Amino acid sequence: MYLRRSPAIVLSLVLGAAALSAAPALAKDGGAAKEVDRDGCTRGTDTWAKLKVDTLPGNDNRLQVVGVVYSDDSDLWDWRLKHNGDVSDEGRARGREDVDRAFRVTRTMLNYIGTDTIVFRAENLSTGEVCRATVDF
Amino acid sequence: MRALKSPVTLFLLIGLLTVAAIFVGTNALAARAAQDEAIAEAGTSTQVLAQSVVAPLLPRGLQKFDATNPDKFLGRLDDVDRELRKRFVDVERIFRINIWTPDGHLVYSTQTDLLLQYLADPELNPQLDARQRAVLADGGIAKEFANADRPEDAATIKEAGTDRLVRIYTRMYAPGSEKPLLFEAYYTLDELQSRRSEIYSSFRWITLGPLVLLILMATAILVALRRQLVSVGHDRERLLQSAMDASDAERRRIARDLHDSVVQDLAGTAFSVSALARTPELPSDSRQTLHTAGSSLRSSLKSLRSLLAEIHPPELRAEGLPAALADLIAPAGAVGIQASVSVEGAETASDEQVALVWRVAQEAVRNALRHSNASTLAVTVRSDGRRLTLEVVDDGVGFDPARTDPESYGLRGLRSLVADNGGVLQVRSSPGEGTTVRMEVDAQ
Repeated sequence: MYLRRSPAIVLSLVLGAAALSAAPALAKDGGAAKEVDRDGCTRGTDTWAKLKVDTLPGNDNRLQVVGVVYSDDSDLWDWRLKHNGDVSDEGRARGREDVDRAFRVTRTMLNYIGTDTIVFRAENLSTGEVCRATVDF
Repeated sequence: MRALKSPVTLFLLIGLLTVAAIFVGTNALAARAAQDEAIAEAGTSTQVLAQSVVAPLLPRGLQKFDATNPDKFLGRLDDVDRELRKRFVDVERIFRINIWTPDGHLVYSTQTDLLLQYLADPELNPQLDARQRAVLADGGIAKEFANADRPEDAATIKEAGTDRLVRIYTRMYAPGSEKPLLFEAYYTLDELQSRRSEIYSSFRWITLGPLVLLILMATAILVALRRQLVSVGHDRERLLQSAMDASDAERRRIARDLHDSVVQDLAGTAFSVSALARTPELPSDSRQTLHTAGSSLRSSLKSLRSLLAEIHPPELRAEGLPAALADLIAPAGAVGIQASVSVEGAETASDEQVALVWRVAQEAVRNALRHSNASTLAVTVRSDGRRLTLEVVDDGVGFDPARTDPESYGLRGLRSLVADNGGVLQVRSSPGEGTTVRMEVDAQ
């Protein structure tokens, strides 16, 4: 069994790595692919954050930005989205029971000509834990 | 066409045409006024929108926008975009929104591709024109029709698919800022026109209603007046007819008395004198004298019969027309005019047609004898069964119709008389070329 399975596993790993390495190239302006960054937040907890950036369907002039924090608690979090260093939006949120104690922030941004650097930062107001995900689109 | 001769129909027609002209004219003026009103209303809406809706949504610091480093403002521009798009996505009347800094940099536009181009290349930003700068300095509202020569207008026109756009702009302030921004909104004229239609459609019927009512009331009054006039006219006609009948009876009596007494006596005397002149027993000088007296008497008799015919026309029938016309031209010889009468094909003419021919011939011959100084005069009547024609032609001095009114030669009234009988009367003349009076009536 082991001998039979190993070529398939190797092939899957190779293809997966190829797909991951190709994704950023396609995701530049005008591209169709999305950019994702994951952050494990402060070491030693189960919390992690994800930032996903993509163009709006049928509209290359705007980006759809989704920031998610999987906190597995009901603590209050301050979050902030920055676009090329300037604050695009900020707010306060709490993980919801019905979505695995996660909170999600979805915003649109202008798809600036050149590289758009999007930063999603979230800070747990109780523990001070900080998550930070960055995408260059 | 006959209905058009009725003054009521004519008035109604002219009235309705006038109403239509007024309606079209006022509509055009009202449309222009309504368009101005719709644009003014859009201007007020723009000002309220800018100051009450858009300005409070602007992030602090936007007025400090640095075109050379737009990255530092991208987050705030995202914020503006999200907020304004949310509010204007369903506002159909407004096609486009732009926000400009005082130094002429575009900081927001609902036309995102234009905004991104201008952000990437500040050199693309146009200079604000004098009116825009004046609004920024003094406030208020200004409007301009979209001009394809302006790059941002051209982009908007291209996207709108029409150049029927009006751009309205006003001043506003971001929160906590004393530096103004210029807020621009593009409206499609079609949208404004629909608003314009709402404004003046009610006035359209308010304009038309009273005019039509006025015409209808005036028509009713005119109908009543016309009836009154017709009634008065009939009374006058009856009175005139009575007077003419009385005059005719008097003329007939005088003519009959003269004919029965003086004419008969003169005819008898002329016959006796002529017979006596042929008596051989009388000396020749006496016979010559009697012969001259007889001729004179016959001439007087002829003149008298012509006079009698003038005083009262004979009861004419077609067969008597040649003789009656001959009586008319009888005096021609006395003034040195050689006159002739020719009648052909008039046997089937009605008594009314014969009377008309005689009446016109009488006037034409009288004019020829008095004014023409002619040497010949020809009276011709022809009929082919369909048209009856009378021509009175002389070779006299004639006249210039351009300088002399032919009607002044006694033909006044004859023309309308002929027209009433469905005919046409023409007078042709020129100096030295004689005169032709021609009448043509339907013989059927």
